[in-house]
Amino acid sequence: MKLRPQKSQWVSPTACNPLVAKLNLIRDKQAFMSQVELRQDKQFNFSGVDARERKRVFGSEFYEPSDFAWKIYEAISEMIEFGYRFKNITYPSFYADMNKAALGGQKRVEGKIEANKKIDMGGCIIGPAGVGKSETVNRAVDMLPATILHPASDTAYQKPFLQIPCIKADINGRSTLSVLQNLLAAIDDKIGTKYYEDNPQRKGEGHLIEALANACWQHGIGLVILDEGQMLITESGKTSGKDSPNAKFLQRLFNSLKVPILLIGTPELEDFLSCNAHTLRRYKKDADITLDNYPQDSDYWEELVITIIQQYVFCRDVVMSNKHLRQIYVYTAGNYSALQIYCKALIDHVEASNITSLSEKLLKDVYELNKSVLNKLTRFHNKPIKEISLKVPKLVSKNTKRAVPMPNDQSPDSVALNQSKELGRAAHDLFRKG
Amino acid sequence: MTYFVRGRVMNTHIIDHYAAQIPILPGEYLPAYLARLRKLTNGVDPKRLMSFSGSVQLGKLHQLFPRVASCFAYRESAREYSGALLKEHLGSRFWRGFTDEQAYREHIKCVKIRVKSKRSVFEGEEILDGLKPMKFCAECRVADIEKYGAPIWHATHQITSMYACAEHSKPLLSFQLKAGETLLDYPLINDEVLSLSSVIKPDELRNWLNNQSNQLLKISSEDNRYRLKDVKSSMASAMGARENTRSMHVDITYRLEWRKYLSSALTRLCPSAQNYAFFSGKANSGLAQQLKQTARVRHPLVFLLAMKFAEEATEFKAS
Repeated sequence: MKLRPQKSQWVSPTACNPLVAKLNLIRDKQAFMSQVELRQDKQFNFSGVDARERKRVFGSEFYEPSDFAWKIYEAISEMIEFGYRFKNITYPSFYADMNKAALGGQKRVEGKIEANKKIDMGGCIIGPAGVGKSETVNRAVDMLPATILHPASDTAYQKPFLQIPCIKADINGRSTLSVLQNLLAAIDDKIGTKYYEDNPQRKGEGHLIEALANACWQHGIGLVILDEGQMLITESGKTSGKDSPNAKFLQRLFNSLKVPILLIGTPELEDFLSCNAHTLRRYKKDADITLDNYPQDSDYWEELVITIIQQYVFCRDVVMSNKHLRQIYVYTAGNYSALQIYCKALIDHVEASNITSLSEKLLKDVYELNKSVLNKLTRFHNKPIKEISLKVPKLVSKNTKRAVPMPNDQSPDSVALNQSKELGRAAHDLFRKG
Repeated sequence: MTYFVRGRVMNTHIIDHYAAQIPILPGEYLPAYLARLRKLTNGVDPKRLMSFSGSVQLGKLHQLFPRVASCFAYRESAREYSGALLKEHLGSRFWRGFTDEQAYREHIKCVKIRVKSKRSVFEGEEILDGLKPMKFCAECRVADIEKYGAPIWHATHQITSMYACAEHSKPLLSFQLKAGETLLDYPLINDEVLSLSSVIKPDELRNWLNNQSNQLLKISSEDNRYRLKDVKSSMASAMGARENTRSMHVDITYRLEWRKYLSSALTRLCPSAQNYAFFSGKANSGLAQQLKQTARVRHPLVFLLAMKFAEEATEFKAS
C-alpha cells in the first residue's frame, strides 16, 4: 500500500501579519454589539435634564446597533483582512511591491501602478437615505485604530511604519477630481500630511490617481470607503457604461489603487453600477449589502422606539400600545433619520406643552408639525416605503432619474400616446377631406 | 485602542516620515535613494519634501560628498546614525580618511547652517567629473529586481576608483548622464540606462585602483587616516623627500614625472573626457601636496594615483 505524503499544515498569509494583527478585529458578534453600542441612558437618568441637552445626547451619543451593523462590520473587516493578504511589512516583498507599483518596468519613471499581486476587492452598501448606512459604517470604522505606528522591529528594513487601516471620503461633488482630493484629504486628516494642498485639481485626474495610489501603498491603507456614491450619476443622467465618465472613473480607481473599495449609496447607485457589467461585478463581488427601512414587525425597530420614547422623551417608563407603535411607524416609515427627527420634535413638544403621558393625539400633533420634512424622507404620505414599493410599478419608483429613451418598436403605447395618435389620425382625415 | 500619531508628521520634517515609510534599501546610493523617494512621493510638493536641503534639486553628484547627502545624513532626527548611513550609502570609508576631521566638521557645520561652504570637500572634483559616471553591475541589477522590485544604484559601485563589482567580481557598466539630466531622471537602473551603458574594460591600472579602493572600504575612516599617514611617510622616504614645517622638498625629476603620469593616467581612465594636463598642472595636484602630512584635503583618486606612481618610480610598495 502506498502511503500518501504528509501534507504540511496550511497557514494563512495574514496569520503573522502585523498590518492585520494590530487591527484588533472583533470576531464575536456579541462583543462587537456591546462595544459599538452607545447608550448613555443605561448609565444616566435624564429626568431632570432639559430638552436641548436630551436632544443632543440622543442625536450624537445614542447608537443602538442592529444586525446590519454586525454584517457591515464583518464585511469591512473581511475586506481589510483580505486586502492585506499580500501586504506584509515584515517581508521585503512589501517594499519591493511598493517600488514595483510606482516605478516598475518603465523607461521613464512616471509612477504607474504595475504591481504583480492584484488586489481587486470591491463592495457596496446600498440602502435608502436615512436608513443609517453611513452612521453604521462610521461606527464600524471607529472600531478600527485610526493609525497604527509599527515599531522598527516589525518591519523588514528596521524602520517604523505608520499604517492607516482605512480612509473614508464623501463624494460631495460630481467631479471625479474632488473625489480624489477628498481621499487625499482623508489621509491628511489622519496623519497630518499635506496631500490635499500639494495636489490641486489642475494637476489632472491621472496625476491625482497616481498620487493617491502611491500614498495608499506607502501608508498601507487597507480599505477605501466612498460615501454618497449616487452623486456619481452625472447631471445629464447618462449612466450607460460607454457614456458615463464617472463609471469609467470608478473602474479606473478600482484598477489603480489596488486597495479594497467600499461604496455606500442609495438605490440609485445600484442602477448606476448595473449599467456597466464590469463595474457592477467589481463593486458587488466581495460585499453586497442591501439595507431597507425597518419593517413594522421588526423587533429591533420596536425596541428602538420604546427606548427613545421612554428614556429620552418622557424619561420614565410609559405604556406604549401596539397602536402607538404602529402610528409612529406610519409617520416614520421605519426610517431611522425620520425617527430621529420625529423624536426630537416629540421631545420639544412634550417639554413645551408639559405633557406627561403618551397619546395618539400627541403623536399626531407632532407629526402634523413636522410632516413636510417627514413626508419627504418617507416619500409617500402615511405610507412606508416598503409597502409602497410593492404596489408602485417599477417605472414610477424610478421617477427620480431621467427615463432612458427606448426604441419606438419596443416602447409600449401609453393611453396618452394612443389618444394623441387618434387625434392625429382624425386631423389627417379632416385635412384630406379639405 | 486607537493609535493616533498625527504628531509624528506634524512635529518632524516631512522627510523623516517618508524616509521611514519608504526606507533606503541596503547598500543603495544615497543621492539615488533621494531621487527614488521624490518619484515615489509624487503627491508631495518637491519643495516641501526637499526643504531639508534648501534645494529642490539633488545638486552636483560628481562630488564624493554631495550637499544633499550631507543635509540628509546630518538632519536632527538622523544624528544618531549619520556615520553608519554615510558608510553604507555613500561609501564614506573611501573618502573620509582623506579629510582632516576638523575640516570635515567645518564643512558639515556650514552645510547645516545653510552657509555656502566650499563647493566641494575635495579639490578639483568638478574637473574630475568625467571620472565619476554612474556605475552598476549587470548581475546586481538582476538580483535587485528580484529582491527589491527595482534595480537600485549601489553606493559601492559609485566610488570613483571602483571598476569591478566586489560581490560578483565582474566589470562594472558605466552610464554618463547627458547635459541637463540629473539622477532624478534615472532614480533606478531602468532599461534605458542599460541600453546606453558600456562596460568598463579592466586594465592593470583599474585593477590596482580597484584593489586599493576595496582596501579603503574595509578599514574604518579613523584607521584609514592613520594608514594614509604611514603611506605618505613611506612614499616620501622612498622618493627622498624632506618635509619641514613650511614646505616639502621633492626631487624635480619625480615632480615632473608625476605631472606627466597624472595627466596620462586620468586620460586613460576617462579617454572621452577633456585633457587633464591643465588639472595636473595645478599646485594642489603636485606631488609635494600629496606627500605633505599637513595638507588638509586630498582627492582620493589623485592620492591613489600618487601611490601607484610611487610604486612604479621607486621601491615603495602600497601593500
